[in-house]
Amino acid sequence: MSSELVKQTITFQLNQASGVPAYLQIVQQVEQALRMGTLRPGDQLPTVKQVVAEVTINPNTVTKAYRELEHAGLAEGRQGVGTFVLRRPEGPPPQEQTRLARGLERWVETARAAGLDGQAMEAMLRSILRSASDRGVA
Amino acid sequence: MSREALAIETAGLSKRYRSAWGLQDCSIRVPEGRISALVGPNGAGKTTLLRLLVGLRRPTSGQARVLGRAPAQDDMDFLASVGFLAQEIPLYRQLSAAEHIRIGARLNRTWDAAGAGQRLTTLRVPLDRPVHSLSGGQRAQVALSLALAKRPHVLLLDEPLAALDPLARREFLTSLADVTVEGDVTVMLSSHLVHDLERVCNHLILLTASRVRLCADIDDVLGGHRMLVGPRRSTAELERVFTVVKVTQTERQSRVLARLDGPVLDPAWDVSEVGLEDIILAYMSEDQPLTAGPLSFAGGTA
Amino acid sequence: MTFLIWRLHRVHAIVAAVVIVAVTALIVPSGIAIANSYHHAVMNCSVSHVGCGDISFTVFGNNSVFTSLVQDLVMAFPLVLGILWGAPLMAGQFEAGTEDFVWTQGVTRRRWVLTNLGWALLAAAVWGGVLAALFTWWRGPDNAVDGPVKFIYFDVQGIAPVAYTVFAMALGIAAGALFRRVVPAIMTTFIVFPAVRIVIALFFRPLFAVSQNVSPRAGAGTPPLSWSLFADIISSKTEHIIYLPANRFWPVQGVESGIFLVLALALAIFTYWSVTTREA
Repeated sequence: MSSELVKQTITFQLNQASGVPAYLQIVQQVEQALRMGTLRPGDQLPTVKQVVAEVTINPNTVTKAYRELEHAGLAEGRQGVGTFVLRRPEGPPPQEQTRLARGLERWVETARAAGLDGQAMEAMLRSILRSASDRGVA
Repeated sequence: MSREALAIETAGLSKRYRSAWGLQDCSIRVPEGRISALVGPNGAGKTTLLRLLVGLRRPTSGQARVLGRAPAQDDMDFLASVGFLAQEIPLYRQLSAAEHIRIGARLNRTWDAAGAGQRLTTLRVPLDRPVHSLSGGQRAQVALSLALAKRPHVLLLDEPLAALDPLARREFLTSLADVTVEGDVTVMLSSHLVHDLERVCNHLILLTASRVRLCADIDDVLGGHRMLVGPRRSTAELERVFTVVKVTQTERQSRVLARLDGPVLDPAWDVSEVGLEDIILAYMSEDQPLTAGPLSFAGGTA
Repeated sequence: MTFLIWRLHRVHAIVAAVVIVAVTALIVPSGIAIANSYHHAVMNCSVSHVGCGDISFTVFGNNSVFTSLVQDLVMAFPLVLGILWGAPLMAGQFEAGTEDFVWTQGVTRRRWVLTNLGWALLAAAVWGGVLAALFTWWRGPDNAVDGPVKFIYFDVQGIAPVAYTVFAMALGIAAGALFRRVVPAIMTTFIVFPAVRIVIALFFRPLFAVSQNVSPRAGAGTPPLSWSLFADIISSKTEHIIYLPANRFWPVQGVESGIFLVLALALAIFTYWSVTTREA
């Protein structure tokens, strides 16, 4: 089968319990791969058939996700060939990502020392994100 | 939302057995290309609906249209375009998968024997052993391959996952999803387990006690229901504006699952999204007031 | 569809063929021996007037166990066929749910039931016919001595066995279509078939009998080769007898076979109606 010849660039994971719609999870995982440099402009995204075989998901979900990426200008579909990455999403390059991640790690250690557990930290982050989005920041 | 072509459509479809109704006043619409989950408790009418759609039962009243035709067992065109997989996975025990494929070739007008054989070989299902010696999952795959080999445009499956272990269920659902990648196939499968179906299905029909309660795209179901939690109070206000599906009251707290078609203005309510399984379970609870009619969104019907 | 039927029933067909071949292998030599023995005895009788009264014993006496065994086999064959092949034909499919398989593979109910019925009844007629032919030939000498119309002798030769076998098959199939379960179908066939056979044999055949008053002289009484049904001494001069004469053999065969074939047809129509109208 031809799908075996096209090496799959990335793999996906579906978290049914997360409350995030499936197609959005795929979009986010593509964006994250782009940010981390695992996917580069010009790479081909896995075909719909490949994703379905791997994740057991409705093909329309994959199509919807890829269309979102096209809308955002991150990817483009080429008739009969596949979907290809155009550019990285806005945001810091991988090195900057790593630096931010380390900063977050330090905060987590501080928070844990202060007595917060993982769930409390998540709740705090969520409420801050929500109020930041209300203010038009995040 | 644009009007999509409908693969399956029923209007007031009802079936009465000797002592009880199997299905009452069922009106559903399934647009083409969907993978629809038909869910409900045992005895809710899922098998009855599927058999009415495939023409193995005749309705007491109402009508059904599959791909624009009324289901009829002596309509060769109909039989050629609609595939059906019964719950018992009917295969001839003493015959092998290859023999079933050969038989199908002689019985059907369109028949992709090579495809069926290839499919089973890829899944590592032995073709030459009698079917009774295969595992449940393998038998299900043989039956599915036979149903697919005639290249149907609509595929109806009655509890295909019931007897399968989790891995076999996954593989079967992957197969179904894979089928819809290629062609213009609409799938409807029934199950009383929701969790697995959610990955692959994008349309939902919920039956309880022989009636339809929900018929809509899953995205619309998820988008249209919310869980409201707040300090204990009367839900009368809410019920005037929204359709309330389930109310749980404790001493201190009220929890309401409701269909929202607008914002909740009262800030005392904490509004959050609800998972599909919880929505379905709420409709299936017995002690709830019956909603005026089945829920359907654009793309569904009323 | 034909291919499917063959593939599903080829074991049955092969077993039935083997049985027939085995019966043939047993009967043919025996029949030849009996025929030879009979002709010798007749020649002895007509040439040297020896043993004329003993012909029956001479020819058949030593074979009586074998004779009755084979006769029982041929009598039982229709019932066995009806139970082992007819009853499970439809009922087995309904029980396994496989009638769904064909119906969703582009075979209409009508076509399914007609093809099944057609081949099954044809097979029944063929098997029954072969056994009947074999046994009619085998009984040739015995008929000359003992007559063909007696109960049991009548049932295993001529065309009647064909009709019995077709009827038994139709009965088994109809019972299967009615109950949709193999065991009730078998039990129904097992009870109904012998009942019908006995009723017709004991109440219908005598309708063709001849009722006479004769004077009990030596040589009179029930004519030879006939089936004596009743004899009553009325007075010292007259005896009232009822018997079925040997020359009524073919008329009775014809009508009785006709009855069974009509019954078989009725059962086949019932099967057709049951499968195409009733829903699973």
